[in-house]
Amino acid sequence: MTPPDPFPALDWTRADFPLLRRQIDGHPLTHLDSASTAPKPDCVIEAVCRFYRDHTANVHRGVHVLSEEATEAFERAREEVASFLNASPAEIIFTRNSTEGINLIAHSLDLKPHDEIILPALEHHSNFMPWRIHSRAVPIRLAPDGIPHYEDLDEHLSPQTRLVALAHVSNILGVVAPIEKWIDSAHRRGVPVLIDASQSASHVPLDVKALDCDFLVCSGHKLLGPSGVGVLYGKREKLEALSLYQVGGGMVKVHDDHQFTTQDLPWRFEAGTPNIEGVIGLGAAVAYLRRIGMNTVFRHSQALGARLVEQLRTLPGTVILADSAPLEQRIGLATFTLHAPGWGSESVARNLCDRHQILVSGGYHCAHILHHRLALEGTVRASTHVFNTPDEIDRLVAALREFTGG
Amino acid sequence: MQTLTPPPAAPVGERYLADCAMALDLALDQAPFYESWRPRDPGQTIPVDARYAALPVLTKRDLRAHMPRGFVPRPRDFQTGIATGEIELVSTSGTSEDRASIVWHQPWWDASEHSAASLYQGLDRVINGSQREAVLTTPLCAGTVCHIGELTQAERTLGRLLFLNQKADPNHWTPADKNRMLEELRLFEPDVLEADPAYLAILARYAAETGAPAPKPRFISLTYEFPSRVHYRQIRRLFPNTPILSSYGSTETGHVFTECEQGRFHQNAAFCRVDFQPFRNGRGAEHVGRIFISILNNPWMALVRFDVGDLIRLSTDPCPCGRTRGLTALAIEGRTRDLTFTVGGEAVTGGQVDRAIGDLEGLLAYQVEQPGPGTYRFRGVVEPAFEKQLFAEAEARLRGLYGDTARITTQRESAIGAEQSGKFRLTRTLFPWDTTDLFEPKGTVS
Ligand SMILES: Cc1ncc(COP(=O)(O)O)c(C=O)c1O
Ligand SMILES: [Zn+2]
Repeated sequence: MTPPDPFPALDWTRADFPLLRRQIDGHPLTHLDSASTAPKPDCVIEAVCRFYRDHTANVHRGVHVLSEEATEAFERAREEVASFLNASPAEIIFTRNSTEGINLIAHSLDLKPHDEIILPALEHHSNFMPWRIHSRAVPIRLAPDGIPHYEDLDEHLSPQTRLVALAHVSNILGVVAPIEKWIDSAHRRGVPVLIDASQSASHVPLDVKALDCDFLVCSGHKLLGPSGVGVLYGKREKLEALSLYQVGGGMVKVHDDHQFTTQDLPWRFEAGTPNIEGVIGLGAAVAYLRRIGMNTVFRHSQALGARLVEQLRTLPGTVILADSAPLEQRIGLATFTLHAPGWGSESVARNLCDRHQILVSGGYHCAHILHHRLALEGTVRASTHVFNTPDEIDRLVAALREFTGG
Repeated sequence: MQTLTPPPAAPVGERYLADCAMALDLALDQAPFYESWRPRDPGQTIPVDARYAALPVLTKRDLRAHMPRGFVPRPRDFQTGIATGEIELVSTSGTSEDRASIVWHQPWWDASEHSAASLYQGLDRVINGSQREAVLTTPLCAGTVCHIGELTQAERTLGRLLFLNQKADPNHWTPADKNRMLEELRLFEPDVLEADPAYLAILARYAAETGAPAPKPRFISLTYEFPSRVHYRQIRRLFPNTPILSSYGSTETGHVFTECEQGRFHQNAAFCRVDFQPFRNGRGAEHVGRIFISILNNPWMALVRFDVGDLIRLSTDPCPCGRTRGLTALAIEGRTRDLTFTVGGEAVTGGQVDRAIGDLEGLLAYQVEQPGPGTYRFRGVVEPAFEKQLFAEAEARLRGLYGDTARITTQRESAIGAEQSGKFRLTRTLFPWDTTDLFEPKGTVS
């Protein structure tokens, strides 16, 4: 009997990632840490190098050939990202990373200290600290396995609520959140919604028009692209209503001592020389994912996630976060604690690298609030990407069995 | 408007050949650039068509390297012409590798335009030197490069000309930009709306979607770049009864072809000569080839066999409109650099691609990319309702065009942007190739 939804084999992509040919102590590595930052395919490396080699020039400024080529490649990347998210290019602002996108919104919404921002208590620090600094963060409580009580949103929405912010996929849980419901509830009360797509963007098909979210952020480096480049999507009218963020060159039109007018979207929010090579590399990364097809990428990620959780459950005493979530809602990411007295999460991760050349994350993953609330002293996280195979999951679990027995 | 000498009563063909001979002699004898061409000229005893055919081709690179002095025929002198205001140095649009400066002599341009207008019924009565024209194309000054900011309507109105657009890429027009342009068009009431078809398509779609009242130009002249069926459809929806014609020319060459009421393209033979070089047998479609333009009757600039970089499809029978002077083309086929290639290596023009897929219902913009031999990517901006069938149908039609074994992928896009030049490319290859062996070396006809 064939399974109804055959596992989409993406092994062929392995050849595209030179990092996977690296060896540690003479052994090939098993890369299970893409949620932290992902390896880059050749097409991204080549796009960045090509820019340096053949086109290096500033964008939107020069009138010579190189500057025109640079500008063209830069804006072409914007279109690529716009199509990836189903947005219009004017709604795509290039930032440094997700963190900067969220900070931009937190700054430019002109929040007051009593304004409230509702978010699940497990958010990454970058989707928590900006709200804490600029206003009052209102966390939604968590179930014992870490899943937020999403149904509590309505009772927290109040006239003070200025925004609802949540991760599409938490970097700890690896589970797709019910963002459509949240967007719907928040909009019914006239409250805009920001989606942190840092983890989901390279695993789950995204369509900002269908979702109807107001803002969305993601980072290039987890999307197979360069670091130091990220994306802020905003609905045009929402972006137009924001106050200015950073100011400087590239975002103004007229300038004498007394007056200036700002550029149109998206350039209004891109002051200074941008990370040109980063943006071009990100364009190449997104094009790569689109060529594979995000539906395929998602099915592959779901399948690896399910296998990861099912296998981890066979290790005695292992506690998996969001273990109660349906398997089909998972991406290829699981966070867990082992029953292995004397081994902290970081030493487990280090040992996996040193003994087995398996790369995972260990520690708090920038989510101290969740760890604090669930009374966890750090966790181990394994996460996949398009190039990972079921064998690698099995190899990880076999190595973990050395700690837990069973 | 200062008009040039009216044509004397000589038979049309003779007058044309005499103009061609005069332009050639002036260039070879008096314009410094052509000194190196002189040894190639078989001489005045040979028919003029054969003399042209024996000469090399003039490229943009030549223009960049030798303009202005190399192309101003003696005894005229560039410096003097500038001082008296008879000429200006004008940069053509386009990215650097596409761009050139030329010597602009307004009376010649006006005469070329007026003459070209006679090729569409009723248009020459409007193009009379006092016509009000609204221009919708790349901005005088692109917003992202220029730091002087938005211009008022008064600042964009130069005499009887109104320049509408201020943005480098029409995909970045805001609703406010589009409302402004529509409003200005309604108030300005131009005789002619001269538009880049890709730009006008976006504006027209917006007006149709928002129910904005349609402006009422007397004629719409599509120019600046290849008009796709996709553009026509969106423009027609807003302007169901306005005469729309396509006009082909360039800053360097003046007006070269005008589309007549029958939809064929007639040469503006009083102001330019066209040499046609067809594809070699089996390398591209029959009766399709590139064109070299020589300008006629311009006392200030000698351009001979200039490769404008475009392709046409010749008409093999006379046009029903009855115009017989010069070449008649069935279609302008797009740019040479926009050629793609079938699985078997035969060149496919932008026009061929457009005829294959441009009428797909729900298609708003497209680009066909060829990443390598035998592989193709169809990128489409589509109305959601048509998405499902459209991509499958596009793939099938492109397979028909490129070959059964073509590897075709399709991709839905939010937008397909303009190039830095502000122009759009409907087709392009992503691998290098050159025109060696593509065209018939000798077989130029004119
Ligand atoms: C869910 C989530 N949000 C935000 C971030 C922050 O991303 P960056 O450090 O690239 O700004 C991360 C990174 O780990 C993340 O996983
Ligand atoms: Zn005709």
